[in-house]
Amino acid sequence: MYGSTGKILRVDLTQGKVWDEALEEAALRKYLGGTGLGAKYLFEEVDPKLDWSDPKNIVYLGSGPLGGTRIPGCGTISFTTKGAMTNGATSTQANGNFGAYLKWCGYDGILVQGASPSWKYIYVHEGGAELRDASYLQDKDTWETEDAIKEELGYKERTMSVFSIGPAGENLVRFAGVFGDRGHAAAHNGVGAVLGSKKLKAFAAARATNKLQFVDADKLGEIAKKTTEGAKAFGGGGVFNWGTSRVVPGAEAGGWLPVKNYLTDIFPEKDLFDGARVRPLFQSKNYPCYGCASHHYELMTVTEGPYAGYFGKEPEYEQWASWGPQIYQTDPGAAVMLSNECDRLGMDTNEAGWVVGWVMECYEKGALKKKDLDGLEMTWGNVEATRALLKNIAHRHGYGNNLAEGVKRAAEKLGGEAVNWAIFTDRGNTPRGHDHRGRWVEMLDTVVSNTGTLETQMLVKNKKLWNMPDPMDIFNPEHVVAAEANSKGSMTVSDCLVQCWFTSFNDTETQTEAINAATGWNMSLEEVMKVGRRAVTLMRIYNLKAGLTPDKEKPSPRYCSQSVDGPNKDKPIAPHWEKMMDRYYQLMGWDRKTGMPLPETIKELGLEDFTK
Amino acid sequence: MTHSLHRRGTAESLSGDYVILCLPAVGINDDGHDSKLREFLRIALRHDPVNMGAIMLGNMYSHKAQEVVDSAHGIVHAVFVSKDVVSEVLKELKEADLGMSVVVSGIFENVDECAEKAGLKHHTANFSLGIWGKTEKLPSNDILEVTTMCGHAMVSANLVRAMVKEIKAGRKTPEEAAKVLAPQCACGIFNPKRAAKLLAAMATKKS
Amino acid sequence: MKIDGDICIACEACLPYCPMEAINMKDNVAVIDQDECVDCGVCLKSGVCPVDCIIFEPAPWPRSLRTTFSDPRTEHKETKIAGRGTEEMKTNDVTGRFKRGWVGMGCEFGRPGIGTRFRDVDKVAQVLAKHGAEFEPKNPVTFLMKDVKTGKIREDVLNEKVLSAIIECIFPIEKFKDVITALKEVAKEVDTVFSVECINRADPDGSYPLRKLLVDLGIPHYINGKQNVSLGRPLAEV
Repeated sequence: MYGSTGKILRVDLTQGKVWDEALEEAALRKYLGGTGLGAKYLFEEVDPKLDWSDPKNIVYLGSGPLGGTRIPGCGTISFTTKGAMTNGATSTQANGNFGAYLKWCGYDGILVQGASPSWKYIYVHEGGAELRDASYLQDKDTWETEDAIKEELGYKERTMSVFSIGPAGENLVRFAGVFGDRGHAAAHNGVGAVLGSKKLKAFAAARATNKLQFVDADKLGEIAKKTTEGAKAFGGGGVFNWGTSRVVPGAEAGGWLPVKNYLTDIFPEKDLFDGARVRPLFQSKNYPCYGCASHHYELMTVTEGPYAGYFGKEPEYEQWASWGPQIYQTDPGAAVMLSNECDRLGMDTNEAGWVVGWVMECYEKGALKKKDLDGLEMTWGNVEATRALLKNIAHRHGYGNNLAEGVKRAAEKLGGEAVNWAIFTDRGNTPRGHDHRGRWVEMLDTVVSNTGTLETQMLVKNKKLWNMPDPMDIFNPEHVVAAEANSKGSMTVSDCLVQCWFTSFNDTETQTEAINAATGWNMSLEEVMKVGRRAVTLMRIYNLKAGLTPDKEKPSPRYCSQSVDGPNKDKPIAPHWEKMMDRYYQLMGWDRKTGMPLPETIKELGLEDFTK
Repeated sequence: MTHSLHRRGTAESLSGDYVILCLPAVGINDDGHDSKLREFLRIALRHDPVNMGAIMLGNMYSHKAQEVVDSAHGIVHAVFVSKDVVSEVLKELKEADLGMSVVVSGIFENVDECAEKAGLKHHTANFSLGIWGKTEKLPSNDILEVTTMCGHAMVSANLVRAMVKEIKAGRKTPEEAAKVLAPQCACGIFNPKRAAKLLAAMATKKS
Repeated sequence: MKIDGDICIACEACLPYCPMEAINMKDNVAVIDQDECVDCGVCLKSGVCPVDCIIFEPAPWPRSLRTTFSDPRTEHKETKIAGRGTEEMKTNDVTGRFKRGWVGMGCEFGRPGIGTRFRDVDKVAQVLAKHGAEFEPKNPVTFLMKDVKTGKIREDVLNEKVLSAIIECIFPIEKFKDVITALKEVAKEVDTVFSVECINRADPDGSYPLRKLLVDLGIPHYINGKQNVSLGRPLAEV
């Protein structure tokens, strides 16, 4: 086979065995890899009624046909599992090197099933794979784990990729994630908790010699160049040169920066968090993923303020958002520290930000007192208290045990008015780090997302191809629904390949060229577009069988509240919500009452087998 | 060596491009010459050079100006864009009487004018008879105008092309692009101000 | 120069920095063509590699020549001078190397930006010698000559490639016409380019006899050049 290695690694933790399993080319053509293939495995092997912590749950860690090429962004990997926040199908990706290294070792993916009686990690290398003792890694944070495994196995810095869970995953914090290659994160919907329930601490893949066969390697080289040029050009090269480090000021101006748990949309100190200011100030150094020339990912040392000397990775926008405006603190150095501490403990920065912000609001309003919070003074912007609280959550210590359930469950447990202050969806997931009252497409996506994480967005190179409104009025309900529904699957294609969004910008046309140059399958553009739609729909069906009902697709009162200030205060989404949901179901071809995709939708995507 | 010779360009472009070198004669007056070269650089620095270099360390774009001054040894360079400034620098050098040889690279008439204003006489000239041999292997002239500003060929033609592309795409200003090229020239005789003009012209050409 | 293939992330950032276009992508990593690479170190010193995987491993003779000629920061052991040539005319006010009635000439092979192998330098050096040119003793290319009377360069370095290498020589101005004519001829046979420079001491009245000669012979020279401005001490009597 070209492009694919033709096999995955099966890991049965209950038996303590690993073995190679062949991949069928027909399945690969239909699902490509990554999220698509993961959804198929999940559907076929995990009863949707099971609890996420059941040993029969699986985790599929997948690359795809482009993994291991030098097309920028193809070091990414996708995790698919039944997630701990929504107890539904989930898929979450991390960038870095793992996807490339795994394919060079000879595997398209790793499928983990069962649960181990003792802590283990998986080591994949050129000669094969093995399960190794991870008891010495218990309670180590994700950066420490990376270092320890590399030292144990004798690999220097970039010659091995390690992704691990931190104490949060070990303690089954519902929003624990997997972190590796110096802070890249696959953190949505509790994949880290699932691994914790299996006592699987980490995955380590050695950088091996590339023996992958491609049909047209020269074409892939050209596409690599084209992708770099495309990435440099997209949005004037903003992301290529700065990653997401410069987003905060613009987000505040647009009214979609999350400030003080949605209590306000004004954050005067926004410019302190501008990457153009922070990068030169904090001695940052570029630390790119495999194949990528962009300056998205940097490591840095804080140089001023009480956290001067702290070394870690530059916060993504999501992390600036949580650890700056959302908890209402203004020291970027402190935000660097909290972002990295959250990564190290192994928790999703988005959920953690909503949790902490909600706690601070409860504290301000007296719903939670110091004695409830194990002596922590959770006033707005209290950095040290936040740091301590994150540790408590990761170790399920004291009130941290409640908070480890996520903001929805914690708020519901506390009860009373406090439930109305929390930001969540009724499915159990929470948004990314924005105020979606200024970003309607994403509020809709967060609520309907099958994976509990971003399924589509505006980040699509060819809007016309995906029938998205252009120009787009982001507060026009019809536009919003059309953008969400019509482009559904566009980003999922990237998640099946598996390729980073910030290099591909979901350029489905170039991705189709790349698939064909790698595999020789001669797929049409329409076929490739369908792959994304198929994966999304498959997970939809699975989630419905797992107990999802349309009434759960609702934002919490605070989430869809009306802004009290800022540029969007006269644009409440709530009055439009019902109509938008009706229209969304219509465009998606789903039954409005049951939420199930209609027979013709299922047929079009070749998913009849899954609905019998 | 002749690293500041063979700089290609039109009269107009070259009228904004002057390199002054300062060095001892090894075995004759090189005892304790470091301090004299440091003094040269200090004098140069007072007149806002667009580049300065001490080869063992680097130039103003790879290091801080003071670091360049402190590492003066062997031979040092400063680059200016106006003949009036060159006259002023030469006047100060005459007064300073460092005893080191000073060479000025630029349009002959202009340099003579500067020397005269400073009360100096030219001694020896170095003429460039241009490029001979398999000239078909050369890149285009506009690229050469930029690359020949580094006599040791450390500014690659491909890097110049890449920078023109960046300017064309609006991702870099000509000045920013010139600052990517400048650090590669170890001696610090590359003229980034002139380079920015040349790059801008290349970026606006229809291709 | 070498790239550590175990670490390279194929980002292609280093490719345009190489003056010799010796870095290319092969399979999934960047690779430096060892024959085309001149060990100048520009790629490494640029700091462009985000994972610091460009390495310089000092090579044995004759390859070690590449870096001494191509990286101007290295000093030639023999001349204690960094760079490719000597002080030449730069210190003529003090050394008096170029007297009135003489012309200094330099042919810098590979310049600008093409690179050269020593076999081309050898070809032209022999022609210059034949027409009466005397080679500058302290010049690094002169050090490579088997016989400075003939200009023949030693066999074992002929294939080595460098960013540039300069022949420096001197001859009475009367020989200029012959030398230039012969140079024009042999220029047709070299596989690279070379930049030609001529040095002349000004007469007491400030005029350059060589300049007049160039005009008479119809040989163009650039409008810009270098001039020593008599600030060196002690002044030589030339």
